[in-house]
Amino acid sequence: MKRLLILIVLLLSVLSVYGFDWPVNKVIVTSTFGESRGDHFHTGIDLGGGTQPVFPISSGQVVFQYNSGQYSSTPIGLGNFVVLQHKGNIRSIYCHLKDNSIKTGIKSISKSDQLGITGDTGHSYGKHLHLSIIDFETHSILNPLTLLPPVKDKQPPIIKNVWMKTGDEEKKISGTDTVKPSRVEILAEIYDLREDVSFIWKLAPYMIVLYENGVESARITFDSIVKYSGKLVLAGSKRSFNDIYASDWIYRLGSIELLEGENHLLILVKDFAGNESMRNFFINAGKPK
Amino acid sequence: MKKKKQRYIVPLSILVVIVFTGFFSLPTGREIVVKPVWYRNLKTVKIVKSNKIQQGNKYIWYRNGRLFGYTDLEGNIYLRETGSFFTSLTDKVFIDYSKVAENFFLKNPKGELISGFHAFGYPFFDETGQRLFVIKTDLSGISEITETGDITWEQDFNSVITSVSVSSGEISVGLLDGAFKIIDNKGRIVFDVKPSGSSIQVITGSAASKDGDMFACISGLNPQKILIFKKKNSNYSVIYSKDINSDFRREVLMRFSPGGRFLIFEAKGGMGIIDINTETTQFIRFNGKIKELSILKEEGLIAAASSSRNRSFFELLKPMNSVFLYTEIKGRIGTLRRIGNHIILGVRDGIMRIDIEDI
Ligand SMILES: [Zn+2]
Repeated sequence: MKRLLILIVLLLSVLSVYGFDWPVNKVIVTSTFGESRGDHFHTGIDLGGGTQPVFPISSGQVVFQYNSGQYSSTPIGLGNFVVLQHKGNIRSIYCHLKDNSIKTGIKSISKSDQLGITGDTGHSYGKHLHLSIIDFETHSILNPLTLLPPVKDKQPPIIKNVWMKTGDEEKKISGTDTVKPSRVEILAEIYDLREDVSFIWKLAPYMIVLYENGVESARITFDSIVKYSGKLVLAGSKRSFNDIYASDWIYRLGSIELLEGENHLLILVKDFAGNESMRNFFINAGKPK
Repeated sequence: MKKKKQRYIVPLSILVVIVFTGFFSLPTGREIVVKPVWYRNLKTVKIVKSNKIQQGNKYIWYRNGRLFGYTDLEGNIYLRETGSFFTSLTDKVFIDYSKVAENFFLKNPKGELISGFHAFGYPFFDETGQRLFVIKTDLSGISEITETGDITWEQDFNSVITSVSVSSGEISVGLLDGAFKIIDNKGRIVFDVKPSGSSIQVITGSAASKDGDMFACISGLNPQKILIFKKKNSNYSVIYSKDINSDFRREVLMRFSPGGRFLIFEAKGGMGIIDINTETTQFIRFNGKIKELSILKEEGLIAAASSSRNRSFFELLKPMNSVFLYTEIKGRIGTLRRIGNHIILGVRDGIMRIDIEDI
């Protein structure tokens, strides 16, 4: 509770200092921060909504940009992109912009000036804006959803399937299981859902907590990503992409020791709007009857 | 059938005349002869059948717009393909991949498959085709992989890669936060610097000498600086640092001359050349942004391709001298490669060989 309060206070202070706005008029979040991108975390958010003008989240200075046809020493997966510097060494990055839509030759830009138009350039499956925010003071890649105005969402996240894993053996947990006392890894298929579409469009949750017999044993929070021991990790848990993802949407929650008798597991998941889901599991460790 | 053929012959000949007279009509230095040797229109040229290709053939890759492939000094075209999204080309091997590809297919200059494997990111080879790197699509990391897809090493950054330069051993990575890092062939960061003195930190260009003894970068805004680092007893130290009057907020091209005496870079309104021996700088004014450059001779000759909006230019220039050949190419400019004292240049819908003779 205390942690949550500190977090809220921190978030509010950040919001009041930076006063970031959405970079597009029609806000549809199609991908969230921390999602699996095969071998790395998604380090920003994706905004759908078709072709629309893109504005800076706050006034700033143009630091760097790429427009197709321009010289580049490497292939560019971000497509046409612009980087802006804001107060406090915070930089925002706008990617996959439409060809020739980026204003060139400008050094600074105000919130109301159009920066470009959403597009599908670079490593992109369709027209969208990828937005990343990096704090170069603390060297962290921030979750834009913690800095931008809140999004409407009433749907709680989904805890679909949970498994316990020992060695190469994986067993789905039904809720009333009997196993041998042992150390097991808990894997869970978890996702949030886009609210504006009728089909299943998965988004990453904001927070996953695993409790073992009432005690918190693991917590994954998609707040920010930092570099630690040469790898990109989630700031709080210091866990890397491979520590978190068994595959897309299947999270490695952590390892627990199943003691003889009844073991109670509780998984709590929150999305960015604060909606919660919870599932209880009871595992009986002992000799099967 | 006859009619169809005739339709091609006329425009092709006109095109060749335009391209060639473009070069001839310009004044060249007294001692240097610029000789266009052949031009091949990639839309109409005949491709050499693979069973007619001789063993030990020396392939030269080319690229022009979305077309890429292989030629040789005689102008035979062995391969002409339309790229899917991006193609990493070397004279020995290439990978053509789509924008959301998760599989890499390595092919030889005949277009035959060498290997294929699953991988994330965008691949690129070093100049020799010996080393294969993969850059994360969000530009947050780089790795080196084998030709079968095994990762040799990887480095991730909580930043964005803005520039990469490859030498025979080390590679350098410039980042959005202004850090410049040199990574050895085992993936260890052997040098890490964040040049200070600019109000905004960012790396907007980098270069590596062929042997990895020298690296250079353009760093920061207000002011923008150029720095050269030299290896001494396995450590790198700054041997040159100067404020420059440019204000590039994009990547700019930089290259060391093959012998490492000159550092050539895009400067405000043209090209800057630093003579590292004497620490003198020369500025050569010309139009457009530099897209490619090739150093033909140490202390001698630089060929550059540049563009400005829809205009393309080809320049030949001498360090510590001036542009002595300057021509506007009507249409696109592609590959600019030096093979000995021959240049393979992509122009309009084709490629051409130009020989530079120093007499
Ligand atoms: Zn994205």
